[in-house]
Amino acid sequence: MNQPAALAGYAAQPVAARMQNHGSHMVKVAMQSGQDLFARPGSMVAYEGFVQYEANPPAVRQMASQWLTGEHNPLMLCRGDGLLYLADYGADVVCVNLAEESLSVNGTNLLAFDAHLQWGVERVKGLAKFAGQGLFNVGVRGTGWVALTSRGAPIVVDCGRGEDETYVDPDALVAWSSGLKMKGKRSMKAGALIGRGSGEAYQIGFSGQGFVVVQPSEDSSDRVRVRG
Amino acid sequence: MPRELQRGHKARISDLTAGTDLYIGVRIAGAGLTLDISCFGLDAAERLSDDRYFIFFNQPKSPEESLQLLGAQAGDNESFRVTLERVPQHVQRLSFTATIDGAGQMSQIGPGHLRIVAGGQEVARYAFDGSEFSTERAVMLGDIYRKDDVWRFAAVGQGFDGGLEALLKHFGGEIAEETAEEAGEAAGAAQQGSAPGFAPPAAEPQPVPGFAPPPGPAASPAPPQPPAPVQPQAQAQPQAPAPQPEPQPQPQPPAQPQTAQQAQAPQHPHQPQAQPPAQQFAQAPPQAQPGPPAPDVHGAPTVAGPIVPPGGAAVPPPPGPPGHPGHAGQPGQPGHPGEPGHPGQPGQSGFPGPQQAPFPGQPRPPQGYTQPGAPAQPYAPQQPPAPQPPGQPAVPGQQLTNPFAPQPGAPGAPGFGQGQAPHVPQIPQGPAAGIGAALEKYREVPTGQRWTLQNPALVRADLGTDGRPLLAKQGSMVLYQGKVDFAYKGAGFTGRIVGNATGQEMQLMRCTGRGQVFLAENGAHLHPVELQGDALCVSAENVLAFDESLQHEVRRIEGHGIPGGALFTMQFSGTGTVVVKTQGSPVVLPVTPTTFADAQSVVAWSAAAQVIVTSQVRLHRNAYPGHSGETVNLQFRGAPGNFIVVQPYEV
Repeated sequence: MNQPAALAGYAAQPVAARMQNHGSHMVKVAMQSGQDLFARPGSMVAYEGFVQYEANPPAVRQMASQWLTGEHNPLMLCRGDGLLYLADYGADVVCVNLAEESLSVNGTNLLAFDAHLQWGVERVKGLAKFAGQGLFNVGVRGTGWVALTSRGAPIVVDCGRGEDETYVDPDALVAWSSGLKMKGKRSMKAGALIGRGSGEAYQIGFSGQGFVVVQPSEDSSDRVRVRG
Repeated sequence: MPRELQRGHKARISDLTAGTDLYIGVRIAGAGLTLDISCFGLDAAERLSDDRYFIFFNQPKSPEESLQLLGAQAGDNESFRVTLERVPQHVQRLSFTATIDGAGQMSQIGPGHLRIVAGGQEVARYAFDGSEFSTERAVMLGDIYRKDDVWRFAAVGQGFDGGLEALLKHFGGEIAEETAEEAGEAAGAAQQGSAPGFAPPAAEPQPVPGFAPPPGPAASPAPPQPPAPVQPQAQAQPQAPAPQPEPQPQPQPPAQPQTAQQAQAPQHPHQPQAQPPAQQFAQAPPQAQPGPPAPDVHGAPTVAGPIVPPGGAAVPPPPGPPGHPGHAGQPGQPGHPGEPGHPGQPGQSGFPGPQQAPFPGQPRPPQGYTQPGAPAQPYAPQQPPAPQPPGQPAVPGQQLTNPFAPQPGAPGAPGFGQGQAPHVPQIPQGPAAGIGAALEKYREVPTGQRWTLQNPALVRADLGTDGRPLLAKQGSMVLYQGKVDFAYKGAGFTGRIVGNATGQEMQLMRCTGRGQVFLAENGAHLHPVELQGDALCVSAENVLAFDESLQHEVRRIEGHGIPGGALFTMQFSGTGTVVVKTQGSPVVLPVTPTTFADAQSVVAWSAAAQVIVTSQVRLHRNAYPGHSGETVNLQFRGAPGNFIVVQPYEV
């Protein structure tokens, strides 16, 4: 059967980069042996070629031991040759090519990254206790590709622009440049104590030169799970 | 959602997509028509100065493969792949054209389009159909061009009655003149270049047997080795003594005294070397008028060569890729048909430069030009003008640098070509673009207004100096900058009573201070609606934020049989902005005598429209579990100008 006309235009495009978007909700990764990839388990929607998945790589077990209460490992290792398609329940995907740069990504918004990048789990000081599940983020550094997810098209805001700090709802935070200083801020007032809060109980304040990526949604629940 | 462009519209590519690896699809077809779709890579003067950037079925890619012909696919008759950042600097404009091969005219074509797809998503589309054209036989559909170093797209839709010839003349016709001038100069400056160069082309078109062959062999060695300019000269002179010795052979008929052959050679250069044999013959005798006729003649015949593949039997497709199909063609064919833009002359002065430039460059770029030797051969025959080589060194030097400079650096280059094979993804690894490049398209939009839509799901409120506070749904703030205070906003005692009773209750917070507040909720689409004294009815649950200056009240819509006795909505009036949110992109309908909407889907309507409950309640006993089976339709009536907003989501 020939490809129906209605599906025209959705065909895979030629590979132009290690990672590239296919539509706005899917990322295509060109896999090559020797260039492994870390991805969220369960995020694979399709692959072509020979790609193997290692669900429980030792390197991750150590690094992420404190990430997400250890229910499951947060990353799987993908290796092989072929094309790998990743998605996260229809969230927008943004591919970033780091050039000796570093980026901090909210744990739930990290979809995949090159295994050769330096990475580590960081705990946001003073904030984890406020966020329900604990706010963890992953610092990524080096030269390579990182794919982020965002529920809705994200926005990038420069922090250094105003003289004032930039405050972000932690549930909407996707990523930020690593050089920024962070601090928690509670906006609760006396009135909030008697059940009349503004709904914005705490924010993360950023200061310094850099940018913050924010998604237009406060849904930070982690949807990607491994079935079975 | 692709951006729809009309004829004459222009857009920056960066506004359409952050990508630079574009798929250009062209659909154009008509009953009984055979259409050729091609892409011209033009220079700053909109001339096809380098025929390797004329991409058509016989030359499916440019030397560095920034332009590739992909063939028919996905509903497009023809498609191209354009990698913008790899397009050399001297190519300033890519013009996508369609020409009718055979009988017919453009008015016969059916609906067609030119579209740009990036990353699997169609980002722009220019649609057209036969009604926009009449007797044209060629049409320039769209251009991707560089302006101020920014790539832009223009929907052109300009037709040419003359068909391919007219089109080619449009792009290349004047090149002949230009090159001629250059040639003249060159002649003055460097003696060898001009005269000899010209001679050859002339020779070919004509069946001058004696002339062409002898010099050919000798010349051949020369071109391949641009680096050694000296040799060529040396060789050239001895072998083809007649042509080159005289710096300005063309103008001076004196050449005649020499051999008949020679005489012809020099002159032709002047004139239109590209001319079809017939013309040349005619002119040859008179010899008196060298220049004038040239341009015209050039345009047509020259061009024809490349496009009409069958005719150009000589045109070797395989070697073609390197981009010298033109030359190859020459030996076989009379009349330089090979070179699209370049009438014969270019060969010597102007042409050799650009074309040969690649050769020196070849060694570096791994791909494309594997066989330096091959192209050389085609040259040979023509090159009785061996003298050319001298010209090369100069030109190549200049031209070489820019176009190829980037390539050596990018090891990825070769990979691109193979990229099409899905299973062997050779990953082009250029220098990392960095965070900035990836995130550029998500940058904050410039400030200015109080309410700015940042993207479909995110709105920014600028709490300026006037200190007017705004009210927003609790928890909708995702980010703020500056000194902004968030406080609980109570509805008041009566407000709470009413809210509880009607369901039109809003949990609000009051934002005051100075700074920018970004509001969003669950990725819902947001629509700031500005009210200036008029009123808008919105269901309370579809309100994200509004200026505190607006009055709002609960309004009742009566109707018999509505569960609960009535429907309630929130009415905003005054001067200010309401941000309405919808699930998915909504439809806005004008209110006509017969406008109905599902009460569960309608989001907002202009308050001047009168609302009537029409089909009160339909009870479907077999409604699925959990659904009451009750639906309420609302009919809207009102004067023209009223509207309703409906979302594709039933709450």
